[in-house]
Amino acid sequence: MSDSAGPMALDRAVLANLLAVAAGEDVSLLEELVGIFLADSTTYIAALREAADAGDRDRLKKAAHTLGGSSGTIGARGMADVCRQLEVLAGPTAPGGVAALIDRLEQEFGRVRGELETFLSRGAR
Amino acid sequence: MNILVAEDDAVSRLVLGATLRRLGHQPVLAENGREAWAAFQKESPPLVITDWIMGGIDGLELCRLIRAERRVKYTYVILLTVMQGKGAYLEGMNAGVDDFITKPFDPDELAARLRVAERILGLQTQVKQLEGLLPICTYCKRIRDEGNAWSVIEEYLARRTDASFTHGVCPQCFATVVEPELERMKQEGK
Repeated sequence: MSDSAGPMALDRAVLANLLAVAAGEDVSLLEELVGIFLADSTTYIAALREAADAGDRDRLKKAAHTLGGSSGTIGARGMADVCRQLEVLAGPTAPGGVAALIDRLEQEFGRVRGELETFLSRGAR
Repeated sequence: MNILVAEDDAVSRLVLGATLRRLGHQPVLAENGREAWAAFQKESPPLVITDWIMGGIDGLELCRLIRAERRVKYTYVILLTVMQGKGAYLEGMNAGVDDFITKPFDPDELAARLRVAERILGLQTQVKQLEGLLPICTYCKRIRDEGNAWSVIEEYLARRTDASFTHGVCPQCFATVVEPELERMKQEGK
């Protein structure tokens, strides 16, 4: 079964709120927002991998926190959940399992990216 | 209302800024705590919404800096946080935070909390006006209100506060007014 057959990666209620907020803006806020989110997520996932490889828990925790915040804001609840787990694992008593979580995060990000692109091309225009 | 936003996540900052504009406010957006502190000193906004975890100056430190300024006009501080529980709540309160919004924020909850903030800031202004200079008559001690009417001080305060008055006599007036009057009555009675 493909990933797209599972539950939606994006919370539709959050997207509806974003649409309502964007309606009042002069510039195309949604396109800007999605562009920043996709670029930042790619950067943060790379930073998470680097921090995990280097054993840099502080950097891992900070990157997971920031990416978790933007994921929650855009309605990517699955990504936000994985980021929260990474934040906990990056704490002082980290038992490991970080690499597997980053893999899950990247997989979830793929689903989110697809849904955001569809949302922009169909729903938001 | 001018609102300073300190948020290092670009996506959250963008959405928060747009939401505040939609609610009729004028947000000033800062990308981190240091930038927010500089903007605060320049703009003196009545309300600050800040993320907790940021590089450099974090949300709690920003709040402590604002409180240490001891400005006459109160600054209402709302902390954006994913942290929950008693410990986080108490830490925020001890730093001088007025309210909390959980991330990701709900626009309706944000609007409601901003209404509370405006109400409290309005009350603060009224209190400051009461503490400020009152035009008082040199002779009869009546106070001129905002409608240019003169009221005795008891009426003036009773209309604006929960205070009520019990009348007594202070030791000085007892010695200078009451005792001579009692003495006079005693003399007349003789």
